[in-house]
Amino acid sequence: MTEAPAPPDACPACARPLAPPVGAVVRFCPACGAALAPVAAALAVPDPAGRLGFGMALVFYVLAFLPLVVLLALVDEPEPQTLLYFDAFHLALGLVGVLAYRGEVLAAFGRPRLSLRGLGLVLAGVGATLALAYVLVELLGDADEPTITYYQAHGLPLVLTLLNVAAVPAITEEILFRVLVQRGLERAFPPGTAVFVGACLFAIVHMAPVSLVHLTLLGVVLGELRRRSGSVWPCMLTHAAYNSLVVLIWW
Amino acid sequence: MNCNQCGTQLPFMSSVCSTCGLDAKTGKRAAAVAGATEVASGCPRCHAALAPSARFCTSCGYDLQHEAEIDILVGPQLRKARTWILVVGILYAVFGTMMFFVYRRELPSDFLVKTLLIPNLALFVIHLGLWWWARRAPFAASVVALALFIVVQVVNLALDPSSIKNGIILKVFFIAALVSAVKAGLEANRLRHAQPSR
Repeated sequence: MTEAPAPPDACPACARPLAPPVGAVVRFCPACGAALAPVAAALAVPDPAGRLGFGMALVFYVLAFLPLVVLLALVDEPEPQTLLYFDAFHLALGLVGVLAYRGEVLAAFGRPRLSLRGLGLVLAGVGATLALAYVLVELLGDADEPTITYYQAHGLPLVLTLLNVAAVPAITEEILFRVLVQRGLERAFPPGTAVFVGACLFAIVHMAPVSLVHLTLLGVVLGELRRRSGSVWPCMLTHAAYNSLVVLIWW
Repeated sequence: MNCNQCGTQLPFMSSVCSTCGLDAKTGKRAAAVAGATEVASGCPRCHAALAPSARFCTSCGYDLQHEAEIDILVGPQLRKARTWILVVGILYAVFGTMMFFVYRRELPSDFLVKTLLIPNLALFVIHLGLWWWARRAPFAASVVALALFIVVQVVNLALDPSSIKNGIILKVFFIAALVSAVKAGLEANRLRHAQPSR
């Protein structure tokens, strides 16, 4: 903020002392609510709303989730071809989202703010998720592993499996969850809560009870990465790396 | 005795100001007055950090006294959802365990543990967590609980279409409570943003 004079020590309207919370910009008196800067500064308070509302975010959530439901309800064991249609639908949906909210999406593809500490935290988070996933799958079975044996059983080569399991979801899910859903949730919740709710929805949408816990953890890691780096690029890379590791471990 | 924050006369034998919610004994704002839910996490409107005894947000000028009115309007729906989350969580545990013992003779035990006992007990634990979380963030917890419930129903539907009618009255009540909680949360946010900036 570049208001010319230093903020006064006491409120000009009610004369009570102004004790700001550490690191916060004081624009209004905490006791009487009088604006301390000219009205223009008060109006310049950023509105967290944006164009993408909470409702819109949930619409995208449902749209991402519906085809899975239909697929599960209609077919017992879908052919790989069906899954490719499903991928195509996901990509088309991603494209619609990108076009409808190109402002938000383009803004999310900016240059990321990266730090060594952040990199360490992401590696720790992904490692913890993988470890948790491994323990849960070995303990309970029936999570990511059958998907992969399914691809193997249908004779899909590793490269195509990686494309199907790692590359496409990394792009589509990141645009859906880390850009559109998270942006909409940030309108309704404080930033940390928005990340956690987004992570829960991300985990729930995978419809695998065994994966709920570790996918929530992955969602928190990716959501925080999105929030702190200010870009979706690192999230896509992390997501693709995580999914590739899962494929390679159980291949 | 008068409130040393806003000067309002305090009620007899009370240290909590009815206008600004400041507790004269602790110097903190009483949660019950300034919105039972999100005081600690900052301004309910702009999420900026709050001074402990402030009545107005120093960042956006939001009048925190407004939270008390919003709480009267939407608080009951949000608190009702919390009770329902606990009830449904307990029902998962009870039914999961009951069904396990009912089918124990007919089906292999490890199959039952994997498909019946563990998922239901996991859902019980998740709902306990949501119930605990809902005290601080009833709106967020309701959104997650609703999404989880819909997905559980869809998975059950895909596994066994006839299961949808089991406990249908309970399901309808649960969905109604959660939907009204989500609507209440959205309405609260709308009211917060509707208050004119000062």
